[in-house]
Amino acid sequence: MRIGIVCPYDWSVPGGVKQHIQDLSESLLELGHYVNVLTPTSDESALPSYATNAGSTIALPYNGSIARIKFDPAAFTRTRNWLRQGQFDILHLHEPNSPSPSIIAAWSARGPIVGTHHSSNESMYAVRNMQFLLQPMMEKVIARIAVSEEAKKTMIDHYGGDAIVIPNGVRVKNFKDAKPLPDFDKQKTVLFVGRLDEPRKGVQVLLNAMPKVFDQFPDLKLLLVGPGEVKDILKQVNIKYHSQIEFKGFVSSDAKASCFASATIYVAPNLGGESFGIVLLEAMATGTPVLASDLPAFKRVLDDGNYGQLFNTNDSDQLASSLIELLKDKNRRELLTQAGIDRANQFDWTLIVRQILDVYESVKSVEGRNVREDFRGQLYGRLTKTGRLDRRRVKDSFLTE
Amino acid sequence: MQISSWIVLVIGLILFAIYLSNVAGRLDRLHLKVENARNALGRQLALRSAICSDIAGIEKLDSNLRNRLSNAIHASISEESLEVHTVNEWFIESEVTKTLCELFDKTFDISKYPEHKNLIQETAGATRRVQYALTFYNDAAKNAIKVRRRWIVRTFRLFGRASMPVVIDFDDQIPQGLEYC
Repeated sequence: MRIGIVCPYDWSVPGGVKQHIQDLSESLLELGHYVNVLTPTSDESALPSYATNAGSTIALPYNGSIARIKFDPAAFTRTRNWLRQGQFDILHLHEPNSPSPSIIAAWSARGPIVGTHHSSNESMYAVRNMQFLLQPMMEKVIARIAVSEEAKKTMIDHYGGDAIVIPNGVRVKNFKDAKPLPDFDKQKTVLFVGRLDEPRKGVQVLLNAMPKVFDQFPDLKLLLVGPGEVKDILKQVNIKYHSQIEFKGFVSSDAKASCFASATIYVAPNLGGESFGIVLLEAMATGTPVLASDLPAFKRVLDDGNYGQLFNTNDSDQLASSLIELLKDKNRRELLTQAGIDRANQFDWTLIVRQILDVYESVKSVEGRNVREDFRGQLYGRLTKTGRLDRRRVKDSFLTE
Repeated sequence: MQISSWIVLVIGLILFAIYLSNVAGRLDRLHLKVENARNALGRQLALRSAICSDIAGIEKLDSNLRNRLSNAIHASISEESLEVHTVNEWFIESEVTKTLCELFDKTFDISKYPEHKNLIQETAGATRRVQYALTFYNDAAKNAIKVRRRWIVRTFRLFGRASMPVVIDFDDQIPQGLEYC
């Protein structure tokens, strides 16, 4: 199958959506399908061979983080050229409602179009009120996928309709044999992964809990992985614990796997805005027990605590006591490790990609028509040559069917 | 009337006509989407029936259930009979689903059937595709119905000769034993 995938966000900036698209594309390529990803990027040399550049991006605050997106005349031209040249059987748009090449593709294409909704947040007021303009474009998306129940609910709030849920996957094989970092003790390391300067990632909650834990385990190390200002973090912690905190800054996904592999426990103290919690599965795939806040998304991944420990969101005291308990109880940790590996295998991309291929199969148009640029019936098409009804073309057009 | 009011009136009429034509174009796309989704659903049901007749041939499985499955697929919808089925007859597909759910219940363990692994995985895929195709069809149909009920569409008969789409309902759950296949 020839599959065209559109990524709305900058490829050179790591993020959940980009990771999802990368894993999906690589899994599809392994199965022998042709895949091309259209994505904005600010670093063209870092693009993989299966990706096409849609131009550089501008930064906009969106969904509590900074989204780097692309939405200008050049993006229109490039998206339409890509569509024309790709001759895709399936067009798969990610976040089809974001102002990005995704929406441009939805606007200019016709055929079997699949859309995946990732975001589970209330969007900006302005975006919400523009939905009625986007509605006709969204209707061209035949199959809508949500990555979680939360994402599905958000999507239905905005557009109505229905979607199927196919969870995010984890590439278990990239994580299961990760090498631990040399200078950390697998028995005495607590790990946090996420942006340090983003409150919703909850590093604050963990920092408030740590003094109690450090007092019980004087040789314990706290490893903070993620971009952010080290000074700001250290300011919030009593100086006597500074030697026990280590920073890694931003790391590649291989290095992230190594960080998981070196940790005794991975803590996810997020406060909200998480649609799925793929990072939990990544930790579990390396065989690291997970201690996470009880957000709905995390509860679902951990199946209410069967596959990892939960604590009340934003409750530092409970986090501290759970952490101390887990650090003392080696048997419980081993139990969680095994359960975690089993859980991660259920979300392995080799399984998830089959479900996505089933979606492709069930929308691939019956007559074998592929995705093409088509503006007929749209205002733009009526005003330009692109959409004019051509007598010769009308014969094989479905407008006459 | 002054000439300027005429101009305003004419421009207003033109804009209104463009709006109507846009709604009609949108509705046309919606009808086509429903039509395609219905065909896709029929094809997936036919594929499921074909795979189920292979499943009915696995001798290690419970013979009563295999018989029930054979009977169910015999009565079910094939690609040829898609057109003649009216809305009320879709429920016969539920019987296939229910039998599959009993065959592959929670206790089903795929590792006990190494020689049929591919076939069972295919079945899992087929049941998923039926569920997906039905979801997408109903999504399209409900949306088209919603737009057709708008007064502007009814007043100006923007739907042309297309018939009102119908929502299809039958049991489409995925057997629990096949969930992670």
